[in-house]
Amino acid sequence: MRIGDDRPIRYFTLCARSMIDVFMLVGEGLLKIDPENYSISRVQFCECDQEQFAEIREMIAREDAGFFGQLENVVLFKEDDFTAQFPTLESISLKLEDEGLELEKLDRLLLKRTHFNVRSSFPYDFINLDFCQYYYPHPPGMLRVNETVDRILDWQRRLSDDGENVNLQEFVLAVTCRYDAQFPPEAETRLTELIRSNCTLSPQYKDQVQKTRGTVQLEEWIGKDREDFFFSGWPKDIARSAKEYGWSMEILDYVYYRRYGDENNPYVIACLVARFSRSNLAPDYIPPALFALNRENRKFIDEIDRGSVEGRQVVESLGRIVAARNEQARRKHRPELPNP
Amino acid sequence: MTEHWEPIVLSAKVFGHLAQGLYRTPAGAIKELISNSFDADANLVRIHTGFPRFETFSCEDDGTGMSEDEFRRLMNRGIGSSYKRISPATVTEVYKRPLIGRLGLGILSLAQICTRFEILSHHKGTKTAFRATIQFPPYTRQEMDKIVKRLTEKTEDEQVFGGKYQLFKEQYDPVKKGVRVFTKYLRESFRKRMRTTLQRFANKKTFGTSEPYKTFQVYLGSIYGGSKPVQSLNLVSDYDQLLFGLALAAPLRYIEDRNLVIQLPMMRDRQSRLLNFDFQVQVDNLSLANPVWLPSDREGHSAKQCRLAGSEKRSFELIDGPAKEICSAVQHRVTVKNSDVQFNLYEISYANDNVAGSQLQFNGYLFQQTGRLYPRDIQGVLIRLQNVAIGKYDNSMLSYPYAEGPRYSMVSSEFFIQRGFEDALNIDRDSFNELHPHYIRLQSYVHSLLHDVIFPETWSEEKERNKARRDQAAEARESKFVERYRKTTGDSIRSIQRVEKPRTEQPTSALRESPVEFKGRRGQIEIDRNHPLLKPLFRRRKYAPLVEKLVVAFERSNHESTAPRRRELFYKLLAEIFSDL
Repeated sequence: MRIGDDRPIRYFTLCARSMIDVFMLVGEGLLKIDPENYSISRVQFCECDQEQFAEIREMIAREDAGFFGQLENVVLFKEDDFTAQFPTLESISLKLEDEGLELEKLDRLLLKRTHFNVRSSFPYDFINLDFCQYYYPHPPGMLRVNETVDRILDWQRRLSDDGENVNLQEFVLAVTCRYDAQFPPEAETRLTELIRSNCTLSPQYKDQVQKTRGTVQLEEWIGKDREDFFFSGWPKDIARSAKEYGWSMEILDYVYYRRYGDENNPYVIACLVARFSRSNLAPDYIPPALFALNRENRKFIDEIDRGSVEGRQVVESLGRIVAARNEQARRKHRPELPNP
Repeated sequence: MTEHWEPIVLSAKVFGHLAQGLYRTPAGAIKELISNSFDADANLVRIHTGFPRFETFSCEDDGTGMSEDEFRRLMNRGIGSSYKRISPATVTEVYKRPLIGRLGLGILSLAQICTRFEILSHHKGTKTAFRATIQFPPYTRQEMDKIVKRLTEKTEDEQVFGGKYQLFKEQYDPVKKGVRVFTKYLRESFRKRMRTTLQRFANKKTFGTSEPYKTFQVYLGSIYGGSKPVQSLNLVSDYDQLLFGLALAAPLRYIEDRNLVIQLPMMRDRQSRLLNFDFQVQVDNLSLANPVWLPSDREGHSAKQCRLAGSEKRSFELIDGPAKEICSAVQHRVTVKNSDVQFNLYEISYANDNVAGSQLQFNGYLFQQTGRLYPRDIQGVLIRLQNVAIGKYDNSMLSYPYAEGPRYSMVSSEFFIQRGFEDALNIDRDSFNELHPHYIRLQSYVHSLLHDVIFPETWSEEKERNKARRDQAAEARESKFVERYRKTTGDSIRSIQRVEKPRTEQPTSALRESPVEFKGRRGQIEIDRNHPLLKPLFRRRKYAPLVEKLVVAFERSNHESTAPRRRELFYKLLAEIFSDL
């Protein structure tokens, strides 16, 4: 990973208590542990579970790390008639002094305050949004994850507030989401429109669809392989947002794996890792769309065969990360993870 | 689904406390949670304040937890009559710690910093767990005052609605045993104060950084700050005060290389007891310890330099109204390596089987240094009950009645109550009923000790010390003058001697003699201070060194052969004399 200058990396994550990603970056030397108090600097996270929130904050060992709340709720905060009366942190603070405020209104103001704080913490060099939820969940929450990414791509253009005056030229975003047979028709309609527009605007894209899927009739494609259709369309949605905010998107990795839910229902977790760079010209979203369309570019991660060379390497690597994480857990008197 | 809330019922006196306590120090409120954890045999309490935004607060321990029944009992008229007070047990089950909390107020103390919070408890004894949300009443300050006023007019202890709670059962998990408290509903008044005073953040003032403290040692370094210690905690942020307050209040170990009182055998025993409790408190990832450094002065003397050098038993008469008794304290002289200052450390112990019909026993120490103690928040008297500090250091020395000037600021002491005092404690567990006989006896003890032993000693020591310093300074000034005199006159003089020659002859004949004799061979100038012409000049002692120099200059100039040379030398010598003033 390349950063424009020598400053330490700024990292935002939805890491949950396992914090594998954080300790992987520590292992790679991208995040530093302070030898004096074992704190990990420049990591921010969002967590809505109060027990996990306290534990993660303690594992990071910095009291100024972390935002309490669900990221989608915080990022997508929408004004109503009440909250609109308090446009600044100062005015919110003044109103909060009214201790007779109804709980609902109080919650709205607290959410707005967190929204301001999260926004002002941007930009980050690396954002890891491990949503573990449907990218297109059922209505009425449809597209919330999608909208969250869109808003974050906008905030990534900010000049940092913390005195470092960071003005990003590029960053990496990793997004994870879930796909299964319950994929709602509304989401399907949206993806169909996106791919249709690609076909209309880019003859190259249309040719590729025709060549590789044997049809440009999208309904036919969906009927034949709905999952493939999802994998082809999903990154396009992010590329469209990136274009809107002047970011040029390059997909670095597109991986997926299969799991089974509590009721033995199969689902797929897809993970997209992309680099975004400032673009002076109008960014083109066709290259990432073509990348996603090509099945060869998607890497399936199978159950690890611990006996294979690759499997052993993966387990060893994960073992090192878990060991580093558990070392910190022991320092902080927190439960350890089992050895992989 | 409709939510099921149950009322929290409080007695009027508890409600009154709650109403009054709303604007007390946050440390006083959070201290109660720490006390609960101590009583629950916890090894570790973790508090997170959400510095520097202060938007969430959490406190978790790994103790035995609270059962659902106990929680419900507390919520329903149980606060103020805690099980711990009803129970005959005086120590905890596992670590045999003396029980601190005896009124069950711990949970409600949170009302001082938040309006609503969630509590999660995994109770080891019953292997059950519950989660509850507690909502305090949305009373305004004025409304609470009105209710308290109405209640005080009534004779019976009325029950008052003190909020509501909602409880859910949870699956017990032994890994999660203990109590967790979490809130995002912090009172804005608390939050605002914590935030706005961060402009006085000690880390910024001392080390120039707004970053969180890396360790508790770094925090203490920012307070005691070497040669420039913080004069008073009121001059740093409320967050700094909170850290100090919690570290001071909790039953925590002393920092051995920073606090010389640990050199006392009695304090070593105490330290070992504290360590055996195996109790740690972390606030914002900082592992707290007793925050008092003794000595702590502007010269930067440290405990590492100090040694106890000889002790002496000092007796004094304790007068408490009609009661009189002879008490004693052991005075230990403290020498300081590479310094001429000397401190005193008094070891205190008192026991009486009948103070207003009940036993009173306490011990402790009193440290007295040369020069002010910094910060001023460690000056005075601190009383600990069951190892927990009650309130702060009392700078007034429990209302000491005599004027002692700056000597007050040189004393720091801790009194550990071993027996008695329980009923002297006010319901807030942060102050005493000052009319209680045990409090009055301790107060009399402190006053008698200070008045009869410590302050007189300080006076005479101070006098001696000041005289020695004056003499030293005068000597230095004189040798400087001799050096300059030598250069100006060319005489080989090494010192000035004072003599008082006996005078039997008539004063008129003496007037003809010079009061100064220049003994070139010996390299001495001899001044006769008994000379009738000089005697009136030496009446004011503080001018004596100046007078001597002027006389020497005048007499030496008279030795010159011509008036212009006399004048020239005299003015030159005058210039040397006055260049030093």
